[in-house]
Amino acid sequence: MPSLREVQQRAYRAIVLEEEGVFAPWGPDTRVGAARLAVYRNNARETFHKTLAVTYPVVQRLVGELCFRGLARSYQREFPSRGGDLGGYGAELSTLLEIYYRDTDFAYLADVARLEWACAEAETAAEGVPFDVTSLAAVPSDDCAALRFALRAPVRLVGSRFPIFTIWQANQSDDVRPVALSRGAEHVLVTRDAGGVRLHRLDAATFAFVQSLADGDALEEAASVGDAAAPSFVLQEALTTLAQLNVLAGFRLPADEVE
Amino acid sequence: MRATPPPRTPGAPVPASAGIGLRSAHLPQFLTGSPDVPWLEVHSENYFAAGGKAHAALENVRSRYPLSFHGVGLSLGSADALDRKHLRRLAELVRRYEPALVSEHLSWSSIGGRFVNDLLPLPATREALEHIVLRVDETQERLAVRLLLENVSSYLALGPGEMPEHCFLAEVAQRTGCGVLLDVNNLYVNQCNHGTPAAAFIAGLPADCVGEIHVAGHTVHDYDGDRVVVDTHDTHVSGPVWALYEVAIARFGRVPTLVEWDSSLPPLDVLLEEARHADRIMEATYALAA
Repeated sequence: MPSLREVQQRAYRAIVLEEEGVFAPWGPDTRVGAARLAVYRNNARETFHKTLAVTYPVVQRLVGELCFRGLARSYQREFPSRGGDLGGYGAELSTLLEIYYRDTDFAYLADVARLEWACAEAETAAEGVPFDVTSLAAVPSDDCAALRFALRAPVRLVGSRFPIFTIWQANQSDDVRPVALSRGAEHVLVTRDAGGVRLHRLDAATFAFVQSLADGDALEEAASVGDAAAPSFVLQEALTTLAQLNVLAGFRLPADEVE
Repeated sequence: MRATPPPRTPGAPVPASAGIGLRSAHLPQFLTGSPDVPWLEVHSENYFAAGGKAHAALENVRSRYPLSFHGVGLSLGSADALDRKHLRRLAELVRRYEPALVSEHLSWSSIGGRFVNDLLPLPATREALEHIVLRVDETQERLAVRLLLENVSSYLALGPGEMPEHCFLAEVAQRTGCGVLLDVNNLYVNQCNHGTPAAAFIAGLPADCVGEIHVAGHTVHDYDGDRVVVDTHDTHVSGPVWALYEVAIARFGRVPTLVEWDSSLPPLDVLLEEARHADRIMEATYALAA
């Protein structure tokens, strides 16, 4: 008699990987058995397809439903679900799209997928305690350069050499207009407020500055990253933008680090 | 619609009457009013994320309705080690929301760390029995609750069995102290698909082990001449399933009952009427049996 593990390994191969003949010798290797197996295969396909479709509506619109179904089937084989909670399923769709379309006219699809995954993460991230920006006024001016900021949990940053913000925006309504890829690079900050997930297009310098803060760099270092990205970078303006978009969760002073 | 339901203490017991699943399409009606239903069931995994709208909504309704947490992803029957991260998250939710009932399935959904995300039937073998007893023990200890274990529907035997499924389930309940969530639609589905007699299943379970009953709709498919009944939760409960429900109530008495309707969702009023129908059957059957 096969062990429980062997039964389950074979069933997984038959259902998710859709291998043939793996139920022998104990399974009904008959026409009826195959039809019944089809119920499980269909359930798995539908579950994985539906989960991806909910997370990636723009990618689905861009490639079309039929192609998206094909992508979903490839994805379930190449990137197995790793949890009983489907909330994490689909994180690597951008990787699959990169593999498929890296050197083609559809190379932008992977970055659109990264943006949609960022939105999905933002939607369910922890809320955290509201940050009072005025508390920064108490920071001694000598310490400002060494300030390190924490960003709110829902905040995500997605940069691309393609106009991903414009593509995403164009696909939010039924009346989709073509987007010229010649618009070039776009950088997006994803946040969440009481109304839900919001996307904001940032200029390259502000994006580089926020990315540097997110990486844990001190304010002075992040400002120099912003400067390097574009001479037009103005620190005060970038900080005002972050305050307006409710991006910050808190800050640390050098003294905090000593403690 | 009930105008103002009485306030309740979080963790209040689920009454022996018919509740419904809380689905996102019906959320606005629960957030702006208090639809007349005695209790609500939610899928535990829908609240595994750290934040977001789902949590805000559940915080809102938990002060007005007793809750049942129904898990679909713990993969209790998997030959893999129990997913400690999943269990920890579930324990956090149980502490936070204090559901009156916590349930999972007598099934598996993962192997080698890869998930099917479906409720696959366990072969009713001694090996599987010994395995799942240990895992139910561990889960109950970690969650500090009495778990209810649900019988699942199946379309294909995924391995050979050594005992009838109800004997398997009864022994798990007897050895671990867990309760049974009896899904009578799943019994009917399995009776149609495998010839497993549903009434014998009901008669074979200890009378005091059933803590909740599920009823649901199913769909009949024809695959190249093979008639397969699929547990779809997308339509009204069928007549034969209501008949089995009567048999179950006659044996187990009044039990919290859930009308499961998860896809092709009807308007809330239709779902509530289905729950009232279950209540009427429960009262009529119980009155006859008493």
